[in-house]
Amino acid sequence: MNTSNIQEIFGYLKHQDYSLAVRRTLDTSLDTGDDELIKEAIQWSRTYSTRKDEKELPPYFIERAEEILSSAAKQQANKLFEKIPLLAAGNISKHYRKGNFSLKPISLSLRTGDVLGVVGENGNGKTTLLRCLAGQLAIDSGDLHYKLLSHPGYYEIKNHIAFIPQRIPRWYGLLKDNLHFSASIAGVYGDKNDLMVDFMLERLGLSSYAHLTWNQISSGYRTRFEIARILLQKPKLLILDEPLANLDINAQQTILTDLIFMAKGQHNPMGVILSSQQLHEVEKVADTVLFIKQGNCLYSSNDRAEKITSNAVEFETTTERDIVLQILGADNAELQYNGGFYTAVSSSYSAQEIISKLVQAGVPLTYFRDITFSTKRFF
Amino acid sequence: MKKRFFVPSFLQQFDTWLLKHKPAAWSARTHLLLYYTIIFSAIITLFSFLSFSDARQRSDADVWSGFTGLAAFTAFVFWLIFLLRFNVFKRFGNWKKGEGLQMFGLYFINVAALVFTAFIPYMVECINANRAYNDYELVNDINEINLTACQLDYNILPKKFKIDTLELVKADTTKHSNVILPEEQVTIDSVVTAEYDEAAAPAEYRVNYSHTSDTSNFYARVNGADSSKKISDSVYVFFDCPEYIFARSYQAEQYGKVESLSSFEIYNKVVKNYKQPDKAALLKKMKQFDDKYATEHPDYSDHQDKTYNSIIEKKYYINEINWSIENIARKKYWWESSSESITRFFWYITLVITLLVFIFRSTTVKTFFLSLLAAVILLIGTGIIIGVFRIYDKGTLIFILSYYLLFLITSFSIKAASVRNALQGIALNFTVFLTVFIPLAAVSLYFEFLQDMNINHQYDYILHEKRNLYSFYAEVTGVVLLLILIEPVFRKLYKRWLALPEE
Repeated sequence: MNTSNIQEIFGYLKHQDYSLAVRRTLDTSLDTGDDELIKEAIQWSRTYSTRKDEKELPPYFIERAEEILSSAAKQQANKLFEKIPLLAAGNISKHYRKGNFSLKPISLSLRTGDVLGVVGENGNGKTTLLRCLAGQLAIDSGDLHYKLLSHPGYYEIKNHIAFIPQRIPRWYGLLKDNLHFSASIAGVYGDKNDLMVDFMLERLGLSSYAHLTWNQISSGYRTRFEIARILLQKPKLLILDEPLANLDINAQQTILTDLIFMAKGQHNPMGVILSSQQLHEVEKVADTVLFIKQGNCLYSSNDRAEKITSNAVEFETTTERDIVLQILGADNAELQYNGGFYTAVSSSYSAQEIISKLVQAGVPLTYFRDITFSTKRFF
Repeated sequence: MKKRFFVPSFLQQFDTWLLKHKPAAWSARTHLLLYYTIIFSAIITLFSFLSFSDARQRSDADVWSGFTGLAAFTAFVFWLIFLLRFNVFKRFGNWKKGEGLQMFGLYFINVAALVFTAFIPYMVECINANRAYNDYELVNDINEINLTACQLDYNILPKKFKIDTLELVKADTTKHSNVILPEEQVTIDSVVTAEYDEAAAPAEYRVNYSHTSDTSNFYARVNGADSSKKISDSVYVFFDCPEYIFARSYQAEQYGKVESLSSFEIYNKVVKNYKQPDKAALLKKMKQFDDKYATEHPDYSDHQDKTYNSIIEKKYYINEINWSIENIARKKYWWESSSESITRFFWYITLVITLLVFIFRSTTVKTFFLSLLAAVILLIGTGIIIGVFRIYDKGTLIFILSYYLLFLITSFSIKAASVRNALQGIALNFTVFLTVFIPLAAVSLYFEFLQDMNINHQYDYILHEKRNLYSFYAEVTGVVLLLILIEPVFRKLYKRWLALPEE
């Protein structure tokens, strides 16, 4: 966290994006490593939680934020986020003895702060790839190096990596006890344990659910609690299999941005690998996106310039297909219809030009998206 | 932190402290289990004290112990399912040196506490009996009853001593002409007449004449006889006093602090120089003994039996008194009479359950149950082989040692493994379970071979004693070996095996 990030938070406050400001302020306080400041930030966040439904927040709320951020700015002035190599996978492949599925050789690398998205249809190898990277499945060939570990045993690897499966195993007992336990086994003891648990609960908006049990919360909150638990164990590499599956649209965005902020934080900089069907949400936050089909990595956003030779726009309209095609020109664009959306692909027009032509022709558009560089094109 | 039922605040605070400082120790829940066990034990103790107030009655401790054992088993299941859910090891958390050993120790304490509760009813009975009757009382009363009965019923007592003649012979001379003696020592009617003490035996009494080639037996008889007469160096006539013991208790006489009077001693005190007693006073005394011991007077006697024993026992309710005294003595000397078996039972039950819990917590649930299944299959298979080839003792031991070697080698192959294999996990589970018993199996096999080398197949007392001693050393060695290997070997192997990727 540097001063420009703090200015960014002041900007959120100024434009009354309080929820985002509170979350970012908590991250900022954590990055300072100053327990007192973290406590103040938690307290401040609690104030927001209790009064957020009021018409206007009290003036001291902003004043308190300014104090916290100023204090954080002083402590963070000279700290810069540095990307450190975490993982290098070279041509890793996997074939199941039972069944026909094979994951063809895939190479990738990851640094702290990076987010790698893995997308693809069901049953095409996303989970297999993630489990291989997490050390849960043995690879048949290729190299897998966890750069921060020298000659690691598998226990150390699994201590270093956190894997959140799509179906999260049930928790027993109070949710908060589970969080304390996770912090404890990561070496966070005593008052620090209390502080970190309180922080994580507040950071992920879970404080009011901490005294409940697993059966008393929804699947979306279970995902959040699992993320909180994993983050307390301070993994260097966080691997999430379909973390957005159980989340509502707002929560999806919140969780993804939270993960990015935390991955890039100085408290515990980490790399994040996640698989998802929510292409646009993932593409929005991921530094690299892999598209996997039938075990093959068909596309990586890292080498998109080499593979993408045409532009594509996805749109929804009530206008008939022939009219749309006439507007775009049959020689300049291909038009596909999947029953819901049209996809216009053109080597002659840019995405903006395609949209401009449709708008100028008076075509009513209820939805459109430039998918030139999106993996959506491969579905 | 969840407020647990009936847990005081200090324990709640300790629970919280453990959670935030010692997660491994917290996850064993020893503090909670011990606390609940103490409460449960206190309740059981209280109920036992109330129920076992009359030491004369037959012991109900077996029933109570069964009930307590069931309750302890329920608590064990509860502990296993509900309290042992958190596992630092399986969460790949920071694992400190020595925590494997520490966890084994905590599991042992927990299991020992639960197993201990099953012994509480016996202990309470023992305490109650010891409080009610001192170490001299039972045997003194037995002696007094016998003396009094003899004084009261002197007239019907037999006075003639039984006469035996015993001859020490060489082993190869025990065969008499035309008589095949199947045993080393035989008793035959004989015409050999010894010189008698006229006062002890009438002339017409037929003498039992016996041979023995067992020198120690012969001189033991000489030393232990009520009265004897030496005919020659190898022939003795023994005069055995008639039975004057009516009240008796094996346990009381075995473990009491005073000796019970023999028939011969009673003879000397009462019969030999009989004087007319104050019968009214003696009857009153017998009534007091009856009141003190006999709790009921059911009539089990054989009315056709008119022997002096039967008459006396029926007249003074001696059987009922004996029954009560034996009940008291069994309770009173519960620990003295069976401390070794109790200790072994307690130790091995606790050890085996602790080993199973330790394995359960170190391996995957699937592999644990596969191991149980494999154990059953191995037992059946091995049992069939042993039965078919009739290689019972040595065969069993050779199988155990061979299996252990196989399991040990398979367990160490985990070090070179690149994927998690259920067979290796099962082998490791067996290795951990069997290690503690291996020195004992090896020592037993060694002594089995030594026994085989004894060509006469005679009972070798010295070898037996030696075997007992070395078996004890082996038991201790097994435990020490397990404790030494838990952390640096077993825990490391589990750590690697559990973390290995699946195929």
